[in-house]
Amino acid sequence: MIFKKNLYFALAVLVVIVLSVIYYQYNPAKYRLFPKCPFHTLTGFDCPGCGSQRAIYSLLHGNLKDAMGFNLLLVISVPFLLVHFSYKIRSAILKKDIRWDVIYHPITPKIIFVIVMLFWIIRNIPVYPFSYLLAGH
Amino acid sequence: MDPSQPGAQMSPPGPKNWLVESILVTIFCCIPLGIGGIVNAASVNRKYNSGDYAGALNSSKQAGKWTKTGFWIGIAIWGAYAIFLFVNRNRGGFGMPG
Repeated sequence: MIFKKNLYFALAVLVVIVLSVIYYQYNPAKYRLFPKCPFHTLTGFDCPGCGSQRAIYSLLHGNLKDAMGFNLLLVISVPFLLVHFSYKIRSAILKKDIRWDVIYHPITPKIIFVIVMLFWIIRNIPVYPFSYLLAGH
Repeated sequence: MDPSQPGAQMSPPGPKNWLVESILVTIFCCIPLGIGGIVNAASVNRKYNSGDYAGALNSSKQAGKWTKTGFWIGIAIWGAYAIFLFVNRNRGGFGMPG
């Protein structure tokens, strides 16, 4: 059990480090090695995740303004992910299960669902200010 | 402590809900498996909140199953993609800076 947990943790850390190096080193807007969004390719519309790779590249270079222009939802989600995983890390260090109540509130999954759906619709409205949300506008 | 402040209050022990992990699986790997995880994660919160601890535990196991399946499939897909890129590195697989 402990071994399995450590395995997941080590694997996750490795993946994050490797991806960070790749996304720092290579600009997704310029290299073909990055996968394209199938939804965008098929429909021409942005999905809620479109622009994430370019946003991560911008964030890793400390360019918050560009990152927000590529995918605002991703930028907003980063602090939440950091808090969540800081709880995980603290739990592992203290060997005690500490949890972030926000993640365990019954309304949280519904709010996330609504936000993602609204973001999906609104970013595809080709009128300012909604068009700001379009990846790379 | 003020319970309205996120994280200020220590939760009583309940099953892990896998919410964040299943959302990550949805984004990085497999939408159907991730959705399965999210739906079960939501039901962990709902059942735990209404005092149905056995039900919450069951949903937690389901959510974990969906999420872990997605996690390993994701690792396999991205690993295969990395190998594909590496094998084709001299045939334009990496692309050129434009």
